[in-house]
Amino acid sequence: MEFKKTRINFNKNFYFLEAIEQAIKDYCEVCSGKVDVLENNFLVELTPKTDVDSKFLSGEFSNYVLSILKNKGLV
Amino acid sequence: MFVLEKVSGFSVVDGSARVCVNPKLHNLDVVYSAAYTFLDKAYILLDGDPDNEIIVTIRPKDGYNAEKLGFEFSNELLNYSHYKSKVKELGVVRQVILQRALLVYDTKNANYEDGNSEEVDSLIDEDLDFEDVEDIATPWEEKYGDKEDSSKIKKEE
Repeated sequence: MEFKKTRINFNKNFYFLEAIEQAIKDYCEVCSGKVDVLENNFLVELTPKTDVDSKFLSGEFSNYVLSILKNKGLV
Repeated sequence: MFVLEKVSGFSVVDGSARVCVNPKLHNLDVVYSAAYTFLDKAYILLDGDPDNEIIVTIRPKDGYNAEKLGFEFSNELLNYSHYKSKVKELGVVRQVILQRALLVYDTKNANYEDGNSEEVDSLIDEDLDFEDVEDIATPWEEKYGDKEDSSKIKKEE
């Protein structure tokens, strides 16, 4: 059974691919993720592995990316 | 009455607060720092142009109000901007105080590298050249150490 996918657009001016990839790795038990590098954005598509609210997942994921940026001193 | 719509750069759309930040007023690192402090209360997404306008979308978590969070975020921006300007302003003073604190205890091995050795030297001289009328600069061991030891020995005997 496949759960509803969710997409998040991360602006390249504020987010780094390194942080997004790290977040996808860390979220591997919750969802699988794919990044498309577009001209101005990183388009992240998350596919949940369990029945989880997509808005909740996207919000938590974007917060997690932001925390990686801060904690790893990338910004 | 305070009308939200009249506040420039602030709006609430679909339950999320949208704060437009002027990067000339608040640096990007200030925005990151302010956003970081809100991670437990809201879902934060940064967008826009770091040179012209930074758009911060704040989607509140359960139990939080979007409008209130938006205003709190603006306050936090101000807080961090102020902190940053003070850090910059007081950076030299802090450095001198720190060097003074460290070098007073180790003047022989002092290694000046950043060019304010004269300033630090003068501070150290100020510290060392004082009249110790009440003999407070003498270490405890020198002053009382022998006496105490000898009295202890006598008692033991």
